[in-house]
Amino acid sequence: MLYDRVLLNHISPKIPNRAIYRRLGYHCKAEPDTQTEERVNRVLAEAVSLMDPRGIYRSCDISVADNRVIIDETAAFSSSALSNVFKKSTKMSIIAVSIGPDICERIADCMHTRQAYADGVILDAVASELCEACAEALNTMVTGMAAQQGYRTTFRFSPGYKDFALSGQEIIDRLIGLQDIGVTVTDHFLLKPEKSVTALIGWERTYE
Amino acid sequence: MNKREFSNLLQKKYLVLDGATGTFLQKQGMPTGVCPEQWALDNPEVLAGIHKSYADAGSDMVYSCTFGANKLKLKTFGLEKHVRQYNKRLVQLAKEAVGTKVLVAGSIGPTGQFIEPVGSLSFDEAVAIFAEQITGMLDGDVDALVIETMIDIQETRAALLAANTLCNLPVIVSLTYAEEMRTLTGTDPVTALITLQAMGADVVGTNCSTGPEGMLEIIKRQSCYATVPLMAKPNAGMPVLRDGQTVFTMTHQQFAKHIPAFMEAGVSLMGGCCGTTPDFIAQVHTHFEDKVPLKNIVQPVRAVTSRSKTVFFNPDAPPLIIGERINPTGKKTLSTELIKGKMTEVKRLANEQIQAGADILDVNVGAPQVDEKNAMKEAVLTLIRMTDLPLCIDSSDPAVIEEALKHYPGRALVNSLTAEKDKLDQLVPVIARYGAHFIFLPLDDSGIPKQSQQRAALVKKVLDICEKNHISPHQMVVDGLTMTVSADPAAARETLDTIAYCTQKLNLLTTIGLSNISFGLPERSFINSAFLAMAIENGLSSVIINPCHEATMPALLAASVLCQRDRNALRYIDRVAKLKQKTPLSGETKAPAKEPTITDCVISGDTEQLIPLLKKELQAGNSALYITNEYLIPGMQIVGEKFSCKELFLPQLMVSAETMQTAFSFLQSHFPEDSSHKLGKMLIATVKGDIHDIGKNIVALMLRNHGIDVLDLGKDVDADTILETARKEGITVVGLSALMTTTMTEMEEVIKLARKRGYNLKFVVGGAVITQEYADKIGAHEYAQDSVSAVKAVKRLLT
Repeated sequence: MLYDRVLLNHISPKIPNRAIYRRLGYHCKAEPDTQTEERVNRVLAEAVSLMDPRGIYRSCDISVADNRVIIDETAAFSSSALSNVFKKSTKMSIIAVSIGPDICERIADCMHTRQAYADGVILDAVASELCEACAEALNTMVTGMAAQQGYRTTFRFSPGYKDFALSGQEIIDRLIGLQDIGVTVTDHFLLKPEKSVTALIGWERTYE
Repeated sequence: MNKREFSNLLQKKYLVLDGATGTFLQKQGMPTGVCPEQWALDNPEVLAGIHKSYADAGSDMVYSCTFGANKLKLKTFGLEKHVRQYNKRLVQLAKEAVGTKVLVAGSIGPTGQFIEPVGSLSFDEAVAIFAEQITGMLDGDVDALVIETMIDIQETRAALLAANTLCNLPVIVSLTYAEEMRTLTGTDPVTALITLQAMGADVVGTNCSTGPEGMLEIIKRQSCYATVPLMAKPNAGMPVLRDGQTVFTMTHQQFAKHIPAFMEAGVSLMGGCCGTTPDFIAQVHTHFEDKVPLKNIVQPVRAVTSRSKTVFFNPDAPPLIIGERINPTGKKTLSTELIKGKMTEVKRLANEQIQAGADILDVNVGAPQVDEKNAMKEAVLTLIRMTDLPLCIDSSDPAVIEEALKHYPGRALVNSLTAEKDKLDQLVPVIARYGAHFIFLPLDDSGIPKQSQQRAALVKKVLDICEKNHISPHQMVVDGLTMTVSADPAAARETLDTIAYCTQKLNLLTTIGLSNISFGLPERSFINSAFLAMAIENGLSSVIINPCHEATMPALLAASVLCQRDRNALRYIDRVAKLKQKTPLSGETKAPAKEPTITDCVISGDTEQLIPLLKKELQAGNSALYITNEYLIPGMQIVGEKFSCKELFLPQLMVSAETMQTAFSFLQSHFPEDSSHKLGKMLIATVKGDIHDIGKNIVALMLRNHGIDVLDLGKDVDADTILETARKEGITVVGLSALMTTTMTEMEEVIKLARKRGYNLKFVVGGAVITQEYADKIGAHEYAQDSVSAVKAVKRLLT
């Protein structure tokens, strides 16, 4: 059974400062110098004002069999890795988030028109991490709702990860209507705007 | 029972609430998937039995079985036409079951949808949905209302507004907190409490989601700021699955052990939520019987809130900074955008002030040709999406202010009330309805009083009016009214006296707008800074300024230290350290630096010093090619080496690349017209199906900076286009990029097709998922792990 779809016109992500620096190559104990830190802060502030973080989630009952996560006779996701993670799940939430097209346009503008390469590269990293942070925020919301109903959740599993084919994006689109958050799926099953994420989160009963 | 009677009751005795209804109904045979309200109406004896069992166990108040009886929830079952009728009948059933000695509270649960800007349900629509439900309960003669298990502060506000508009019954408001003690939309218990008690909730509390252990901490946090009684309804622990059934494992004896801690923490009402039964409630009754709740001893709460943050007016801390920049007066770009309904400039101005350290953002969108009501709504919805700073709603039109307060998911500051008759008539009820703090300008229909005593008299007059309208004096923030000192030399003294009187004698909050004081004088920042310091000394609580104005901020910080409003000068030290990072402060001199070379400029990304140095080299007769080969490319090589050994990182690599591009742009006209100065030409593309191109762009940039002529075909480029372009352009080296495992296979297709067509091309491949093994497998000539290795690889292929 598919439950009501919930559209979120705004998501408040936690600003993922450390993850942004990791994406920019500052692993382990590497620390940015003051100038870089100031530049990243400036670009981050710009990104926050440019982003339009939106999301959708929809929950459904599932069964797992023959390396497939089955919603009903018309919708199933084939993946042994996904099936393994969801083996104890009886429900799942399908989630999608996007931070909108403006940031992607600004990245292209920096890289191709304004020749502001450093800003472009930082903005790309910031945008990727903000998108992940939005997915995390929605994930937290789903986990909270699951807990209220006596379930715990699996980690979120996205198309393109392990043997979960990218073509899963098309099924997700059909089930939750990505166009309502301004996202389309390309012929090669990529999401546009680029800074968008879809995922499945399994719900398991809490066992003693 | 009205609000006052309920409040009096709670001063005399604890109130025992009931336990679970939903899980109890299931135990009594309600199947899953049905509408609980409909099932209860079809099985009234079961519902009556549950209510009665709680009353028998000692409940002083039971909740009606109307949790989901709102239009949106009932619509799921096609029952949306019966909202009023169901609510009326379910309240009546409860009343019939428990008799007259037990109160019946009408239970109001969430609609299941989120309110804008988070969701698509409008605030007005939500208020109407709750109003319809409450009207049904009033038809059934309900004794109180309980808004419960709420997960979103804005939906809670909508329900509370509906309740307080329709009746004078006591309203209990109870939220559910998830991880990290926040509601699902991010509100913490203290912020929720301050927002809701200011807006007229008679009791605030929490229910569901957690057992007693987890809930106690929420109550403890709230008790420090609660001016209303607190309530708790924990679950019987967390549910688990046993033999295929969901069960709550906590026993009523275990539950009982937690009750004294809740009483000590300050709850006045307690019951149970999911999994609790009459046995649990009997335990609460035993503990509560014949005892009097602890009295709230908290100071009045003077704080503004956003959805997820509380900002306190603290007399022991520096004055709060109310950023004044979002105001179209004198700002043509902002005015033009507001007329067009655009919010880009609003966002920019907000950002600028957030970075500069504002505590609250003032929002004023009034300008000729602007639809102020709509613009204010859009500005508020825009700002609450981008910042957790509380807002100060600034308009001369009470209708605009009300529109903003409706959509604002917290306790805002209103700017401003005056003692003008029309203003008082229109704005006082709005402030009362939403519990907002408000700035009071002590002026009336006869104008601005010149002397502080006259201003103080207006303050007292309006305090009386506020009291009659249930507005606390602590909500008032008196504006000292800054007048121009060049026109009236005594103006500053009168303002300072007003601040001192209101702070010290009336215990009120105060504020000033700063810039008026120095109008018409040279070096205005000197006067502004001195005046601000004097106002702080007189007890100023907040100041309306441009926080980006660097001259006034040091005065604010320094005066706060001198007036003992910055303990151990911690804020001063922190802010000065940040200011020093930007520019050396006066009195500090830097050791004279060695004059940088062009190479140094490339390494450090210093474009300012670069151009004069390039000019100098050209004037000395050196060619652009010589400068490139001797200074620029070596600089880039050093950056590349430092990047490879992780001494420099991607942002710094890009800053250097930008500097190279600046140099090339400057030297462009000095290069030979043909491409003889280039190392060679290559083509680069992200393969078909892949729309990621940031990595490819970085590589293309680095190659150009090393003197390679790069033809960039972009992203999602098919094999035929790549190969035919290379053939037409006489290119022999091709770079291919892919980010995804699903698209990297396209690289192999390109290489295979080139072989099939007999093209003598050399391929270099790279991208997040590409490895040396994969490059070898598909027959690529080079694999590039990053942009620096790509430069080396292409140079090898070109030679």
